[in-house]
Amino acid sequence: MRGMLFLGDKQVALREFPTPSGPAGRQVVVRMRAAGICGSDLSSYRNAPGNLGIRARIIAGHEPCGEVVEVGPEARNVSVGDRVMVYHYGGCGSCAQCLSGWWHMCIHGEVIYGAQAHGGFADYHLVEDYMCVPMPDGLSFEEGAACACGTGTAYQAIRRLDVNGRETLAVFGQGPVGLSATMFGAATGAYVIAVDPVPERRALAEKLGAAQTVDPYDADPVEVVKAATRGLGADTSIDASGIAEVRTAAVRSLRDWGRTCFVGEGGTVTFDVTPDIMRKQLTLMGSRTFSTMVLEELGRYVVDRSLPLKDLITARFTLDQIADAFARFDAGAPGKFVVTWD
Amino acid sequence: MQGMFFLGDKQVELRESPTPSGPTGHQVVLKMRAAGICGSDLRPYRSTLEGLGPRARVIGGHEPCGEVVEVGPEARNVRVGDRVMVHHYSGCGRCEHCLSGWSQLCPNGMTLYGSQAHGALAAYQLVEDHMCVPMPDGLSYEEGASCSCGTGTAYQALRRLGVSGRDTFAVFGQGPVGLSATLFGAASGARVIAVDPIPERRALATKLGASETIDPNEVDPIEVIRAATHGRGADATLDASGVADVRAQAVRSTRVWGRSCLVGEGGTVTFDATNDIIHRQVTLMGSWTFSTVVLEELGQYVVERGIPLRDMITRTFTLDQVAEAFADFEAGAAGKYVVTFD
Repeated sequence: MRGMLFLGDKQVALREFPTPSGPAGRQVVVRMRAAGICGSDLSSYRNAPGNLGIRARIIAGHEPCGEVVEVGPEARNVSVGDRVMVYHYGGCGSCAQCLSGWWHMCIHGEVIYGAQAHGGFADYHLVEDYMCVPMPDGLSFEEGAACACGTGTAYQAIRRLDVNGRETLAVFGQGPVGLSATMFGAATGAYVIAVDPVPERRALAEKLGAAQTVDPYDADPVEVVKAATRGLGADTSIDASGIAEVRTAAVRSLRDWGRTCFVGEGGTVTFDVTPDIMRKQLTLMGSRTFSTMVLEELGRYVVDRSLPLKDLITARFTLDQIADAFARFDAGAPGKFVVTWD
Repeated sequence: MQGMFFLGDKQVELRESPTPSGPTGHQVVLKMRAAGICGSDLRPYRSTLEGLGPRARVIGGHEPCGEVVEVGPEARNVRVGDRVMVHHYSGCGRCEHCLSGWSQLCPNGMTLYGSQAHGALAAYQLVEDHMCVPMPDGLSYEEGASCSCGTGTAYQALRRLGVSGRDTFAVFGQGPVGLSATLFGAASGARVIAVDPIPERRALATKLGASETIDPNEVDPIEVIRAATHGRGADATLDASGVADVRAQAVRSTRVWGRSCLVGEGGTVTFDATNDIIHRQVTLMGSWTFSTVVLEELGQYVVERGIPLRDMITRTFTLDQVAEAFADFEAGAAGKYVVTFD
């Protein structure tokens, strides 16, 4: 089968790999139907070849979604023919984190599929039974792929923040995670202010329910958020940019007693403690993806409440076109890009 | 009457100031019975005279506790003879914060008593009716003074953190606020680990209920806390030091899903967003003092539950001795220092 490797310096290559078959123990073979490109793939994509480490030898892609075609003799709760989202982490299976579905928080260290074990940019994907999260009828494979990392990350951040319809939510960064947060925020009834310098992303944020958008190169988002809230500031904010100064802006745009959640990875953040944290009575949360249970809940939520997740998916590619997909995504194209298989 | 003024450069002076009388409107005259010295008093104490600004013209001290001797014609809910703790802030009285007892958050102009209006280190103080918080029988004036800022700050931080008897709770810094947090943490049934470089403070922390103490100049607190928690880290931590590196330690010593609260003022803090915040699913809170409602609750709690707050008060002084009190406190003494009045 074909699988995609990062070569570094914005190069990717399709290589031939053995097609997984004859799964042992609890293993499961998934035939890929859709695999999303995630913002966090860009750090590998942009990396120098010498810094990729084991990733240079591992099939990439950590938003897999497909159909179960083979199950190992001990695999539980999953059958051939099941449509599944793949939760892309493995763990020890016996610590409190794994047992509660938070395998990536495994106290003995997690395995990240797509970084430390083969990932989803391939025709077939060998996973463990517990990684297979059932999808409801009505959720497309493309939507399931989005849920399997970026969209799920946004959903869990909204859950952590407990955003409600009385509130204002400012979302900093409108890549796939930020756009998903905008969509879920709007779905809670909150007044969502979406911040991003790319006009096409702001337009998509409006389509997904943002009440207002801000170009941070044009106006200070902190001032705009305050002006939109009678000078008070937003009740809640999310940083989906991963940029130190933007994280600080996400905090400074809050009102007193405000809550913020950081999901954008990497780098640092510095606060002026008295005004930013104490006088504000701030609550700041870090949130890393979601549990298997939350992913299953998300699939049902999207279908049951008819969330316009399909509108987030702006471009589809075959695996042969994946180099083109990465080049366009890296250039700041709006929305979610998904590789699909028939 | 005599009142204490900061002169800058670690000098204070008692100076003649008019004795307040004939209160108007909602004003109340308090005969001081006890006034605490707070860690935050050290900033004006150590400041230059120029750095003091308008503070140089007001009586210092913001932990007042005493007896009502005169009330204005419109003063409500307070009578001559009432024993009261003073919530040392006054705001517009109409905004949501003032109406819920959080006048320090008033956006319409807040007066900080002891910095912008005459404070506690004098025989009498002119305050507003809403600042007078009733004290239960059995709470001494010394204890009430302590509750009026430092101890109340610790109490509210524990409320924010939701510290319970199942938790391991690490408290960084064992000045009066940190010692109070140790006291309340132990009273809540938590296992408390108290961190401070000063041996006398660690001894007092042990007396107030700490299960373990750490000298951060001897060992790495993060390592010791992890070792004491099966490698996981503390459930909840508090920074009462106000030191940038110690704040980061407080966050890094929490377990996955841990909570941390910052109450030490001033300066900055820098986090590694991924490793300190996001991948550990941290909840970080800033907490600035407490409301009038919480202060009243605290007084009742100390008395009803027999909390040994008096053990934290290690020295009392007369107003004539206030210069000596400041000099000793500034040198890093252990426990709460209180000026008392007959």
